Amino acid sequence: MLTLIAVLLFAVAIQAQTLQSLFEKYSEDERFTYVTVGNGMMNLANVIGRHGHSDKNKDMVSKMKTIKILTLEEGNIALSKSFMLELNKVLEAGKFETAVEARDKGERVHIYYRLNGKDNADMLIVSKDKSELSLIWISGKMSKDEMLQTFSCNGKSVKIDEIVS
Amino acid sequence: MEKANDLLEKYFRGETTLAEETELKEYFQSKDVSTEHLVYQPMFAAFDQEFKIKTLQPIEGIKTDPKRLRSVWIQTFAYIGIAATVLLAIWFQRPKQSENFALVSGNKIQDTEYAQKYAEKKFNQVNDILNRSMRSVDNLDRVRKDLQPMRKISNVKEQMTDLQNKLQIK
Repeated sequence: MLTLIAVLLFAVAIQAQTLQSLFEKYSEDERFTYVTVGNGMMNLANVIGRHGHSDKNKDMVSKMKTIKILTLEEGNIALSKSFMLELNKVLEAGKFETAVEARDKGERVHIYYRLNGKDNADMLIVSKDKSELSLIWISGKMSKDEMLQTFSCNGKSVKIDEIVS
Repeated sequence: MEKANDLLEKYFRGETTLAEETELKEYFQSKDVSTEHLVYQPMFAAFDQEFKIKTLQPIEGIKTDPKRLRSVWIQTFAYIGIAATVLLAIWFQRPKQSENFALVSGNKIQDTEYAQKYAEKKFNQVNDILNRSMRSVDNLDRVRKDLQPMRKISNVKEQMTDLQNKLQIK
């Protein structure tokens, strides 16, 4: 039993490490901009979630542990491609599921999520346009529904069955 | 007598050899000590006494009891455990370094406001793209709603055709 728990913990640690190592690798790269927000996330409550300034929204934001953002600017196509290849490997290895794919005039947003245990969830947003590529990683003690309420579409929460491509 | 004087001088300068010191000791133990040297006799006698002192208790007697030794070890481990717990508590309670920062072109910007504003900008960008791509779905919904009266007209037309057909049959 203990061995099984140890193996599971090890597997979870490896999963997190893969995404973590991707962020660590490219955060050191001078061509990328890396931003991390670990506390004071309440200030972001007005842009996160569909409930505006309500307590429900604040409650949701309070469950977020960290937000990490990696941005590649100035359209470095070769680097962008190699980064996307690495990212896809991480998504496959990390067993991420696709929540939303949205496309509009050369701009794309892909939202992926995965659940770690009962309450822990990771959400990964890949936003791409002609000038830049951004990767936003949100982790927190959130359920799948709460995660998907992070972004709003015309005041409605994004749902898996509202996939637009 | 003169030799004794020389040896004493050397002794007080700390230059005597072991053999000379033994000679001095023997001189002060003898009965031929000159009167001017009698002052030093108790000092040399005291040194001699010190050599004769033996430990009152044999070392084996001080050996500690194994039970007592065990309790000392237990106490030591308990104190180490308490100290480690206190240190860990202090470590966890320590004021955390701000986790809000940005790395732009390899330069670290330790600015919470900057990091939050950057995150806000990115969230808005994502929301914008999602809103724009969802607009086409909204437009379809609107067209469907706008076409509702047309559907009613076609229903009326169908009903009229039905009536016409029925009248012609009669």
